[in-house]
Amino acid sequence: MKRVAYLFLVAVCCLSLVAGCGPKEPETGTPQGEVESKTLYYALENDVASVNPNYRTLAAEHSLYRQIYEPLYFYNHNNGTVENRLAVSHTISEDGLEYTFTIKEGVKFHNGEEVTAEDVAFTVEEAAKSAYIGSTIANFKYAEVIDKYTVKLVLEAPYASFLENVSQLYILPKAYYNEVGKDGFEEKPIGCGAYMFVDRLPGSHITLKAFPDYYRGEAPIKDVKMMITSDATASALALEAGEINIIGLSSANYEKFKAMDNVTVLECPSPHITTVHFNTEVAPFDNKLVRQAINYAVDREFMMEVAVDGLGEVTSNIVHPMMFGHSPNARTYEYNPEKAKELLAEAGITTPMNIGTIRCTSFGEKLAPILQENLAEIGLIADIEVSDISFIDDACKGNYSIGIMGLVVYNGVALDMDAYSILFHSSAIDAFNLPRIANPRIDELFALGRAAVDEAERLAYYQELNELVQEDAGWCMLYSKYTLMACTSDLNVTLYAPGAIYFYDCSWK
Amino acid sequence: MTRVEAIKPKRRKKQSQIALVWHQYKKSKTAMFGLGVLSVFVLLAVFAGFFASPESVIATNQKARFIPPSWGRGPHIFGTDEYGRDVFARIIYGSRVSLSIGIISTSCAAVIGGLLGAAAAYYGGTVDSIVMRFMDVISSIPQILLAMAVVAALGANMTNLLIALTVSSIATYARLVRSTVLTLVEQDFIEAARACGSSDLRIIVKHIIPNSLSPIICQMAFSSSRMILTAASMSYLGLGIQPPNPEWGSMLASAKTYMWTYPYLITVPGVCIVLAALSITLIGDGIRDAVDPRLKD
Repeated sequence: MKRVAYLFLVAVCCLSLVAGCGPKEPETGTPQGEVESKTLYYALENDVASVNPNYRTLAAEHSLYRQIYEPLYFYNHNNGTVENRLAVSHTISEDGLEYTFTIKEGVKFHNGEEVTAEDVAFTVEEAAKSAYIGSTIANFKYAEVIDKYTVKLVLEAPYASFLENVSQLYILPKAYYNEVGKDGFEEKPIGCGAYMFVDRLPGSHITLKAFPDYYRGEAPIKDVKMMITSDATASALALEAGEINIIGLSSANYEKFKAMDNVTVLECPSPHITTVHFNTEVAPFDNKLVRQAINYAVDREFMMEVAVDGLGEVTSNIVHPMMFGHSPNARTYEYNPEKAKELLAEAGITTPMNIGTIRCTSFGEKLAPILQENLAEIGLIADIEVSDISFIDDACKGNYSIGIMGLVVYNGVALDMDAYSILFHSSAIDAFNLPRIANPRIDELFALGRAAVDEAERLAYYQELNELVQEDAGWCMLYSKYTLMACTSDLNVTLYAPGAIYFYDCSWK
Repeated sequence: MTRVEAIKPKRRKKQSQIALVWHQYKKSKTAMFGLGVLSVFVLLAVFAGFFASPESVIATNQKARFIPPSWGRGPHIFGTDEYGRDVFARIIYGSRVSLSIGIISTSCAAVIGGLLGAAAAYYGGTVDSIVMRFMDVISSIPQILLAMAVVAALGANMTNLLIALTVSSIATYARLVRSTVLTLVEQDFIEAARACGSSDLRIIVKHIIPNSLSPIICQMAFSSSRMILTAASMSYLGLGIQPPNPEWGSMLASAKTYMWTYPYLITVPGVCIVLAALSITLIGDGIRDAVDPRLKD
């Protein structure tokens, strides 16, 4: 009886196997099935607010834009070269007011229309109007279409970062944009990049498909899905399970993934800023010596070790060496509690002294206890308050005395000191000039640097600026963390500093 | 004479009642296990100073990061965390916070909620309506959400966390006491007390509260374990105790990133939260069974 039951079971299994194979067989044989099995899954840490680059606000959005849109030039920060994209060449007039670009012929948008000078002029004009990115192409006056493939951009006053910033704008199709309008474009964006936008389910995923007529040749990977996974632990689990191919890696998982055979870890330096900042309108931080003393009191090595597991570069200069304008002669601060105590004594501070509350969001949660301990070592007593994102608002308005923050200043623009005006310029008080220092010489240097056309002259201005900022010590720069990503080992991926991945460069092994 | 005689056996009976409850309680192995575990936690919390110095709780040490649990170095029986702090020291000092949150917030909620509930039931009418509708409003908001709202409004610290937890669980006690008292006020001995001219306060304090105590005690045991869990979730969300002070929930939250690399960091506070909550629940179970008249033999 048992044997009969057993046989019956085997028979059922065989039947179901055959039944299961039957309809599936032709499917797996077709190229359709093959393509489907080769979809690339990418973990996007935040949902994109807008697919329109003129309305960009988050870093996550760039991960999408660089796939579907194309800029004039590509700045490869891995080797410091500039590669042509839509532009073939450009000329700059001697007074630095006219930029003439010649663009490639025969490049097509996803709807089949050709990219012309009209589109470039339209893109720059739209970007200049944008509240989000308009400031990156400051001083822009008007665009003039000379012929189908030549466009002239005219400035009101020289702006040194203009070339690099305008070259990184994503070119939009004028005719299509005007036809469908802003909302229609949001639904179905069109660019001339390597991938076409297929659809998007907010909070869930974005689907992309390789553009067959891409001017540099069709991408090797045909289908891409960008999955929105905001939780780092969840995306790491998904990578391990092979459900996602590329993720942003948290430093705590670095060692683990480094040791795994089926995962490749990618890292690159970035000018990311992790910094302590002082409100110079509040005593005792109105005294420069106190701020410098704290700069000497913090144990940066230990902080970096705890917060990002040592995966970064300790630096006390807030201007990263990667940025144009970094000065090797700017004052640096090393861990030296004795010197800190001397400076406090010089400032006439009697310790122990209560200096208020160290405030931060969860970003600085791990750093705050070490800062508290370092301050206690030199006799400054502080509490800690970890709050939600509302702290950023308070910090901008000056409702704090000492804070910890992570900042990004380079997002999609030139790695140039000019980008730092959002931190150091007096007009940024009540925004991200968190120390609230108004130094007229710094404002002047920003203006001089903008107007200077000669590189060496600009560098001199910016280096002086860097030195002033370091001397003022409104910031206590801690370290620059690395950009960390991880991908499954069956994939060839290139990570471009400071943290860009192009699906076009990816391929299956 | 008769009066003296009446009191004497009553006194003896009262003593024997506690003994009887204890006798019943002892029979339950799980309840005794709960009591044992909780005693260990309480002893560790009270005598924390004997096991670790308060400084060792927050003092960081770059050279002693991530030492796995061991007797040898330190000793660090639960290892050290990402700052090189002894996890055992943080656990026992954290238990002071976690346990006292559980006990204090439960007691406050029981006292405030109990008084409100008793007043509502005793006076009835408008007072009843106002108090109970207010309680309905409170209980219609999920506990953790209400607690988060209170902390967000007042700021994150120990006192505000206690206020938040208390407010969010007052309604349960008010309801419980009100329903108990409603059945009590109808009874003859209350009528008798009133007939003798006792004041309202005296009737509530002397007669009603003692008679409604046993359901409250059971409820307190259950809710204090829930309070510990809620406090842990609040700290996990960053709305509880501020760093670097130890609390089990916040220890769990900061260990989350090291789940794979240093699993003991998340295991130790996790197990402590589970054990503490479980032991209090078991004690509550034990007390409920012990005072249940149907189980008496």
